[in-house]
Amino acid sequence: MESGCRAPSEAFPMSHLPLARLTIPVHPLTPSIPVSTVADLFLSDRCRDLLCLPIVRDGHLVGTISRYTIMRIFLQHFGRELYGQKPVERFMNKSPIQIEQSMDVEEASLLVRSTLTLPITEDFAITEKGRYVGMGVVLSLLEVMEHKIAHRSEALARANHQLKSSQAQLVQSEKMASLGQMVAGVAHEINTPLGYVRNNLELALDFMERTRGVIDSTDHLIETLLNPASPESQTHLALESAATEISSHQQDAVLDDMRTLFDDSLHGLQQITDLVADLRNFSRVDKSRMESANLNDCIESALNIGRNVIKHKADVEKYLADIPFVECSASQINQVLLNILTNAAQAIKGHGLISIYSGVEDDQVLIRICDNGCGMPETVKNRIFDPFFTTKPVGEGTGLGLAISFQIIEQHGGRIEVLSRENEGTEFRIYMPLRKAEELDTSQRQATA
Amino acid sequence: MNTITKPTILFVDDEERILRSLVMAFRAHYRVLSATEGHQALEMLANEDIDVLISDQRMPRMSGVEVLRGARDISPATMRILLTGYSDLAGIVGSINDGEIFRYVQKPWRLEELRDTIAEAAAVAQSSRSNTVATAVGVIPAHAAIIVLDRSPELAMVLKDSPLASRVRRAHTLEQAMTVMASEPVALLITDISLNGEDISPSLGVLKQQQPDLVTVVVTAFQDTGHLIRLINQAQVYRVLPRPTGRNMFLRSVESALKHHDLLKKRPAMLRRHSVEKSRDESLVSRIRNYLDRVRDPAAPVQG
Ligand SMILES: Nc1ncnc2c1ncn2[C@@H]1O[C@H](COP(=O)(O)OP(=O)(O)OP(=O)(O)O)[C@@H](O)[C@H]1O
Ligand SMILES: [Mg+2]
Repeated sequence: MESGCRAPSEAFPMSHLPLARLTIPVHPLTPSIPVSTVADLFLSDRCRDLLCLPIVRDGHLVGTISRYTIMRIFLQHFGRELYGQKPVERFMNKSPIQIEQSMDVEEASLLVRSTLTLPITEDFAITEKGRYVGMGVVLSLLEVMEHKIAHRSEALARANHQLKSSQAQLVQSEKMASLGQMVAGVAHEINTPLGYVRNNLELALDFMERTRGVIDSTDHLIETLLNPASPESQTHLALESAATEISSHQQDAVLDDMRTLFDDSLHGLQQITDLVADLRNFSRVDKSRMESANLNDCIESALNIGRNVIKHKADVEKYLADIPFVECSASQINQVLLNILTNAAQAIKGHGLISIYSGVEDDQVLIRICDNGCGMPETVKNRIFDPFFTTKPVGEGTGLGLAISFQIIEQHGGRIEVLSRENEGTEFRIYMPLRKAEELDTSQRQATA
Repeated sequence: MNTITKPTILFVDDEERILRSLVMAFRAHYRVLSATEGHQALEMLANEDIDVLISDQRMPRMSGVEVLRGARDISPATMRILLTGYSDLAGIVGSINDGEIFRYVQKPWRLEELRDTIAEAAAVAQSSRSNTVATAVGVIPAHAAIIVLDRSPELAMVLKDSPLASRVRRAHTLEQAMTVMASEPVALLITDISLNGEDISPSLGVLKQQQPDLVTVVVTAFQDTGHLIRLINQAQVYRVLPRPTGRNMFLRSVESALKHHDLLKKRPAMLRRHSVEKSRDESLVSRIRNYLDRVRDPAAPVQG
């Protein structure tokens, strides 16, 4: 009778199932096999790794006998003599762990774990449609499981990383998109004064050339007049040419306009200078540090930068009170105001009105930005500060504007409130605390964190 | 007879300093009008003969494109120019499709170039004013071909399903398109600006120079504002459509392009209204001209 541990593997075709790969094709014992034979088997090399052996009748598992049980029998006085020839059936575990080969590894390991005792004395039997096919080692199962978990958590970590970086990319691209919009807008604001400054300069150059013509012809005239030898015809000619030069010069009446021309140009250059200064204020890199700032200036600055988006959508009315300075990162506040103003302009169909108020309430500065745009229903209003919440078409809004604004104001120890009525308009209120100098330290750390 | 009358030009810009500067620069040779706002401009266009309209794009209440579109209806003889410091894609596409503008000039401009552009536009306006009667010149082929120069078949397929089917010729390369142009009358060229990865917009300009009554419809996913501006100034592209493009919008554009071509045929004086800036790329010009001559010539003795 051939009873032993590993049967030739061809007899147990490997399947793609994970449990099949764990299956060790152990030849089962018959229930009547003597205990001492089992003990010898356990000592054999072939069964070295197994904690227990299967006992099968008619293809069905009836029990297992463990190395531990045999040991306990043999450790007793005269154990081998008393029980060695008894059938193994008497000592077997009648309710061994049985696992269907089709079960997945996780389920199997759950099952195994729930029946496991310490020390581990039993492996488990693997069946296919109830029929015994082989043994499985608890430790290998747990090992597979561990691998799986490690792999999964790695994948999880990877997915998490990807998510984070794509989120960062999104934030980055939002910044780029609004930066792109801002740059395009500012380019227009700069190109307009640049347009007339350049034109005026070219006009001035023209004028200078023609003035030179006048001077040359009058020079020539004077020369001719002063020269006693010049014939009358020549004097006449010089006189005539000077007269035409002068009259054409006067006809253009540029001289009178020169003043305006230069005033306009200086005005244009000042505008460009201011815009460049505003732009610098907006770049967060250059200052996210806390400083004492007048929020009215922030409003003006945001309006300047956003003028392009706003001016063809709405008139702007300002009611700015004399407000005390606030400790804040002005560039971040500018950003918040620009976000809210841009939203207001975008909410307006046709041409509307944006009103901006500033004032003091208790120990806070209050800024109110009101529009008579489309307003929003309660369901939208409740979500506007959520990151990525937007009602705008793909590509137009990223839904980060208010989320970022909320965060900035929160970091400053202030708060934002919204009042809105559908089809009537929306009001954003920003409260900023008037803080004392000693509190500045902590807020500074927060805001730059 | 009216040689002494100065042409009338109208500037529209919401920045008064721009207007002041432009008025000063042009008043010596033109009757110069100015408006700070679109409605005011349209009113002037309705009440006066204005040769050239030069409008800013970004203005409160009414955008430049809207002013130009209004001008097209109110005073079609007026030449339209956009003068802007803000080149957004929508504005440029609008100025082509709705404004049908003659030139797109960017701020800040060079005075001499602006003078040339406005002088050219004014000359065109004045000559077409004295030439408003339709004069049929030669035979107008009612069935001039439509070339679809495109790798992918969708656009041609849309046309094959329409009553225009028999007029459609497909081409995969510029050379194939030119071969068609040399062998039969062509009304319309439908194309992308990038063909097999190559930018063909300069060639479109030269083709327009070679055959001024050729009407071009560009269908493209390409969104470079600089390119589109060149397509206006150097190729007088008639329509620019996004890709992928809706079937109806496409057919409507093709129809109106064909009408436009018929108009150009019936009234050759109109051709000047769509003249292009001369291409500075001499080698490209001569290459295209040579090619067209070469494919035209061998046909001549056979039919001749
Ligand atoms: N003044 C307003 N009137 C009406 N709805 C508003 C107003 N401000 C914000 N909303 C609503 O809140 C949503 C979220 O605004 P948020 O600024 O966060 O993102 P967004 O404007 O959609 O996109 P982004 O600012 O990134 O371009 C908007 O999509 C809009 O529905
Ligand atoms: Mg927003």
